[in-house]
Amino acid sequence: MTNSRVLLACLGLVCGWTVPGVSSTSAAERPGLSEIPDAKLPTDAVLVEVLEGVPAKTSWDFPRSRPVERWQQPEAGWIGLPRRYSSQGLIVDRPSPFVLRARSRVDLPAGQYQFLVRARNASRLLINGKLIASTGFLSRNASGHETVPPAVPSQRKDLVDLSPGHNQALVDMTLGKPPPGGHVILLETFVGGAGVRTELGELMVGYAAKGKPFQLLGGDTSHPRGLSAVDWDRYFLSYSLELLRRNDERRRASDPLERQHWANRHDLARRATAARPLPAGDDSTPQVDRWLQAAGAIGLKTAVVDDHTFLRRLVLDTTGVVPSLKEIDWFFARPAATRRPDAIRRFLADPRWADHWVGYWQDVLAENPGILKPKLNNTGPFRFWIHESFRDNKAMDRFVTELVLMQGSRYGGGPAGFAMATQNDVPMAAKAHVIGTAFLGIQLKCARCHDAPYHPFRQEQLFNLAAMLNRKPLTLPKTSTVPGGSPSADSPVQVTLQPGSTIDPAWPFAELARGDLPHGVLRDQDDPRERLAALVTSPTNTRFAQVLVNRLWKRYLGWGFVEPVEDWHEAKPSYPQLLDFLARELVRSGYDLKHVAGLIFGSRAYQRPVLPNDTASSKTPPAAAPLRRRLAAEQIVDSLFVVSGKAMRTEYLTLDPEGRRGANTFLNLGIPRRSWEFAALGNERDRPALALPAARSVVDVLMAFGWRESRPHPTTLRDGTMTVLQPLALANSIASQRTITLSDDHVLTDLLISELSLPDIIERIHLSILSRPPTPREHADLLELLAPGFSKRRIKGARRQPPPSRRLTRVSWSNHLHPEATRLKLALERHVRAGDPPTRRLNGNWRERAEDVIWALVNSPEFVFAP
Amino acid sequence: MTAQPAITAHPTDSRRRFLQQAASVTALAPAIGLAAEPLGKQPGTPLGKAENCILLWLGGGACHIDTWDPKRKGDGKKIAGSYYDPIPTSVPGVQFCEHLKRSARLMDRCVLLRGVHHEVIDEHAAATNRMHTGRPPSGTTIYPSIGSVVAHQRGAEGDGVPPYVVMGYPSASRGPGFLGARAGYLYLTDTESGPAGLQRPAGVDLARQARREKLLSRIRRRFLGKNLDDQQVRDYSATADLGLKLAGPKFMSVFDLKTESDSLRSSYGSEFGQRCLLARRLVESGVRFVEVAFNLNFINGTGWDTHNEGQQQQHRLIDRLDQGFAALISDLEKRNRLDRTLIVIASEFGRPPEFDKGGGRGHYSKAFSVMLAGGGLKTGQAIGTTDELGKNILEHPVSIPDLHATIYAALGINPAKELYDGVRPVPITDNGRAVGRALA
Repeated sequence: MTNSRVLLACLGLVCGWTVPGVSSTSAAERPGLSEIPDAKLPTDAVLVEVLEGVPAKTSWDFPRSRPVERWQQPEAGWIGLPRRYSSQGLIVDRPSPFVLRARSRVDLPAGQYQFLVRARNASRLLINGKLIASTGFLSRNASGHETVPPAVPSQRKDLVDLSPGHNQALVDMTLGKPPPGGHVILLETFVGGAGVRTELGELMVGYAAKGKPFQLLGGDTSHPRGLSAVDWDRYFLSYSLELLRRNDERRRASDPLERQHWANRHDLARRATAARPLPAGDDSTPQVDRWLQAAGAIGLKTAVVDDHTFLRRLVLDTTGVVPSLKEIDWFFARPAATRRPDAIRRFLADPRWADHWVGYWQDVLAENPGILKPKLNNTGPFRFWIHESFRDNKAMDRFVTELVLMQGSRYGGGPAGFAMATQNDVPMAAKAHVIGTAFLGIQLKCARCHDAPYHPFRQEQLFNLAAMLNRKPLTLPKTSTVPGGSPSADSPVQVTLQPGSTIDPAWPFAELARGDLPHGVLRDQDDPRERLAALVTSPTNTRFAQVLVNRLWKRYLGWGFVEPVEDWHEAKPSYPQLLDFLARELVRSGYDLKHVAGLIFGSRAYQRPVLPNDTASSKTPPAAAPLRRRLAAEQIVDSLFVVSGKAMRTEYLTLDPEGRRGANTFLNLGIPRRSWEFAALGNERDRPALALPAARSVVDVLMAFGWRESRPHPTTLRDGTMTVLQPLALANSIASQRTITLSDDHVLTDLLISELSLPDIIERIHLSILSRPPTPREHADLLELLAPGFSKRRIKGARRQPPPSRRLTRVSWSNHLHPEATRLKLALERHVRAGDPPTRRLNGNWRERAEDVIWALVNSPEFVFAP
Repeated sequence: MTAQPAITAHPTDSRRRFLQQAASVTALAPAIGLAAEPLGKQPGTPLGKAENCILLWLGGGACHIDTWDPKRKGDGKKIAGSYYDPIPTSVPGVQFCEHLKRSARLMDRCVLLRGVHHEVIDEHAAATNRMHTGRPPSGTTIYPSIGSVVAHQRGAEGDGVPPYVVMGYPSASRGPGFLGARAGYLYLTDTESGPAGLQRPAGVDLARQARREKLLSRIRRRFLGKNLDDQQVRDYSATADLGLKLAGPKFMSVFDLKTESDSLRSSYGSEFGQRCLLARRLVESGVRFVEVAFNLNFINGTGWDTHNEGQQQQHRLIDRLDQGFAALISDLEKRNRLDRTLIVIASEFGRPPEFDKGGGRGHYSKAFSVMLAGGGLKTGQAIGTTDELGKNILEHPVSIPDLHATIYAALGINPAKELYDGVRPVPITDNGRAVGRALA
C-alpha cells in the first residue's frame, strides 16, 4: 500500500464514534471507501461498515464491494443502526438487502471459550479468517397461521434470554496463542432482503472464557460489558441514546452545500425585509412589551409571576415537561437578576425543544402513519424528519421547502412520507389543503369538494395548488365533487368545476406573493413543486411569516393575534404592529423560531399571571397576558414520566416484531421515549393477539386529554372538551400508576430512602411534581401523613428489583392467528395491568402513604393546567 | 402588505365568532353523566321507541351462509356451499344453520336482514370502518361511529353513567370523530376487571382510597380558593368529582357479575355470553349503546376470519354466539326490557360459498346478513333474499347507510337529520333510508 493510501485509510479511522464517510449517490455510482486492512483494525473498539450491491438472494456467495459507510463503536452489540442522510440532510433508505460488517482485533489469551452470535438474519462469524459460527436467513412471511415459537430461556444467569425472532449460534472452541496484533474477528450480517424491512433487530457477538461470565466482544477488556438480562437492558438504553447522538452528528455533517444555499436565501430575505423601528420607550423594556405599551395593553408596573411559576411555565413551553429537581436547583443558584434570561437561554438550547414541537406539527400537517396495512388516509412516518428539523433548529423557510418537495425516505421517516394519503382519491389535493392551512392561513377544507361556501376560494384554486404539487395537470375525479352539482342557485355550496375537468398547475394567490422570484431562489426553474415552495416561503409573502409568528404567540399565550390561526380570511389582527414587528424579526433572523420565541419568553406579557379563559370576559383586543388553558396531552404524560424518572418501557410499536414483512404494510416505530412517538395502534380487527397493552395504556391517557390517534386531516386546536376520563386517567389509569407506585426505578424512591430529613423530603416531592415548595399549611398536611413510621421506613438488606421489560414477545404477525398467540397477549395484558412491583427497600405501610402523597399531588388540578 | 380577496355576501363576522367560540377552550359541561335532552321529531319517518342498543360485533367477517342464510351444502373443498345443515326456525320459511338451535327458537323476536351489502371487501380495517361509520373515510374529517352518534343524540339514561361502552379493543372506527369527546366511549377488554383505568388499582382498598381522597380534597380546595374566578378550574374539579363517582361502588358494581345467579350465568355460557350478560346490566344502569366484540380467537385461532383451518372449529364460535344471543333475548324479555332494547348482530362482511386451499373461505361483501332483535321492531320476519349460494341479492337490498338509518329510527332518532362538523352540516347517514317493513 502506498503512503498516501495508508494516510487516506488512517483519515477514515478516527478514534471513538467517527463521522462516517458517506456518499449520497447510488451504490452503482459510488466508488466506496478504501479498505482498511486487518493490521489497521482497532484493538479497543469495533470497526463497523456497510456494504451494498448485495443480491437479494439467500446466499453469501457474492463479491464483496467496498464499504460505503464506516464508523467505530466500543462493543459488538447493536439494537439498531444510525440513519443515512442525503446531501440535503434528509433521511434516505439504504438498499435492501445490505451487509453490515464488523471487525476488531482482540488480544484474548489461549484457552477454552464459548463464542456467541445472535442475529435476526443470516450472519457469519470468522476468527482469523476461519468460519466458526453462522445463523440462517430470515424468511418473508405471508400469513398469520404459523405456530408461536417456543421460548428459549438461556441456561446461564450471566446470559440474557434469546430475543424472539432471532437466531443464535453458540460454539465451543479452543483459542491458541493470539497472533501478533491479536485475533482478527469478523462478523457479517444481512440486513433486509426481498419483501422485508431493512431492520437490524438486536445483534450481538459475545464470548465467555471457561469459568468466566459472558461479555460483549470488543471494547476495553479491562471494563467488559456483561450480557446478563440487566446488562443488556442497560446497553439497550445507552445505545438508543448514542444512536440519537450519532444521527445528529451524521445529519449535521451531510449537507454543507444545502446550508450555504439557505444562508444565501436568508441574506436575500434580510435585504428584502426592513426592520420595523420600535416605538418610543425605554431601552431596558423588552421589545415585545414596548409595542404593547404603545397600544396601551401593558403598563410599566404590570406584575409578573414568581420565579417558581416562571420556571415551570418556561420549561413546559420549551421542553414540554416539568422541570426536574436538578433544573430547579440550577435555576435558584443563579443570581436573581439574571436567572430568568439565563433560563430562557438554557432551555431554548435544550434538545427537548424538538420533542415538544413534533406533536404540534403532527396535527397541523396531518402526519398519520399506520403500522398495519395502512388504508385510512395514512401518510408515511415523517415525524422523524420533523423531530430532526427541530433538533437542528432548522430555518422555517427551509422546513416548509423540504416538506413541499417531499423527498427522502417514504417509509423511513423522510418528508416523502408527506406525499402519501392512502386510499385518498387525490392525495395532492389533501396536501394542498394542509399547506394552505398550515402556512398561509388559507382554509381550503371545503374547497376539497366544491367552492368554499364562506370563503372566496374556488375548488379550482385548491386544485391549481394540487397540480403544482403533482408537477402536472390533475383530472377532477367524481369522488371529489358533490354528486349532482350545486344544490341550487342560491345555495352557499356551489360547484363550478365539473368531474373530468383538467386543472393546470398555477399559483392562485397572487395577492399573497407575486409570481416572479429573485434570481438564485429556484434551483430548478421548471419544477412547479419547487416554485410552490418558493412562493410560500418568499420574503415578499408576508402572510407566511405572520402566520408562523401568530402560531407561536398562540402557543405561548393561549390566544392569537388572528383567530383561528389557520384561517386569515378577512382577519383583523389585534396588535397589528406587534404582529408585523415579530414577523419581520422572524424573517430577518433567517426564519429562526427560537429567536422569536426568545423575544416572547423575555416579555412581561408572557410572564404575567394567567387570566381566566372566559368568553364572557373576552375583550377586543385581548388582554396582553397568557390565558388559562390545560396542558397538552403530551405535556401531561411526558411530565408524569419526568416525575418518576422511568422509561416508558412499552413494546416495540409494530405488529411485526420479527421484521419479516415489508415497510409498505408493516411499520416499526421503535420503542417510544416521548409521547409524539406513539401512533394509532391499529387493532380494528379486534384480535387480542394484535394488542400492544403497554403502549395502549399510555395512549389511553393521551387520548383522554385530546391527543389524536388518527390524523387524516390537519388541525391546530384539539378537542378541548372536558370529560370524566381526564381526571380518571390521572387517578386510576395504568400509566399514571407507574408514576405513583414507588418501584426501584422511580427517582423518588431513592430520595425517600436517602438521609434527608422529612421536611426536606416533603419539600423535594412537592417541588418535583408542582415545581414549587409547599406552603406551611400544605407542608403540615403532608407531614401529618408521612411522619408516623418515618424513622423506621427503611428495610435493611432488601434487594432492588429490576424493572419489567415488555420489549420481547414471541407473538408476531406471522403467528397471531394461533390460539397460543392470543393466550400470550392476554397474559401480557394482565401483566401490564399489574404494574411495576413496589420497592422492598421501604416499609410497605409507610411506602403506601408516600404513594398517596404523590397520587394527591398529581391529581391536583394544578398539575394539568398551564402555570 | 396583503390585499384581501373579494368579499362574498355571506356574514363572515358571525361565522368567525362562531368558530372562535367553538374552538375556545372554555369548559363545556362534563360529557359523561348528564341525562339526555328531550328528542326533537321531524315528519315523514316512523320513529321507534327503543331506548338502548346492544351491538354484538363478530370481528373477522362471519360467513352468512354458515349462520343466518344457509344454502345447499358444499364439501369444504371443491364444491361450494354451506358447511353445515339447515334447521327450521320459529318463523315459517326462515332457516338458520344447525349450530344456531337456540336462536332458531327465538326468530320470532327477530328481524333478519339478508340483503346487506357494501363494496369494501379486501381489508378488515377499511370494512370495519365502513360498517361502523357508514361512509368511506374522508381526508377532511373523521366520521363518527354509530355508537357515538347514538350517544350524542340520546345521551346516557341517567347521571353518573357513560352513554357508550365498548367491550373490545379501542379503534378509530368506534370513536366519535368530529362529534368530539362527549360522544366517546369507555372500553374494557376483560369482563373480570372492568374498564382499564376506571376502577381503583389493585392494592388500593376503600380505606386507602378514602385517605387519598381526603388529602386531595384539601389540596384541591386550596387551589380552587386561589382561582375562584376561573370557570375552567371549577369545571375540572366538578368533572373530577363526577369521575370519582363513576369509579365508585355504585357504577362499578355493574361489572360485578357474581351478583347474578349461577344458573343465569351458565345459561349465557362462555366469556362471550358473560359479556352479553354484562351488556344487559350496563343498559339497565343507563348506558345507551354497548358494543360487545366477539373476538375470542383462541377458540379456533382465527376468530370469524375463517381462512384456511379457521373453518374447522367455526361451529364452536357459532355455538357460543347462539348461546349468548339467545340468553340475552330471553333475559331481557323476562325483565320486560326486550322491546326497549335493540340488539344488532353484525360483522364487517360475509364470506363466499367457495372454499380456499386450506378448506376455509375468503371475504365477500356483495351480499351478507345482519340480525336485529327486540327494540320494538316488527319482529318475526326475514327481509331480503339471496340467490342459491348467497352471492347475489334477489330482493330488498339494504346498504350500510340504510342499515344505520333503520337503527337510528328504531332508537327514536330521525334518520333525515343533520349533524354538525363545526359549521359544516353532515347528514346523519349517507342518504340512507330506514327499512320501513322492520319498524312498527
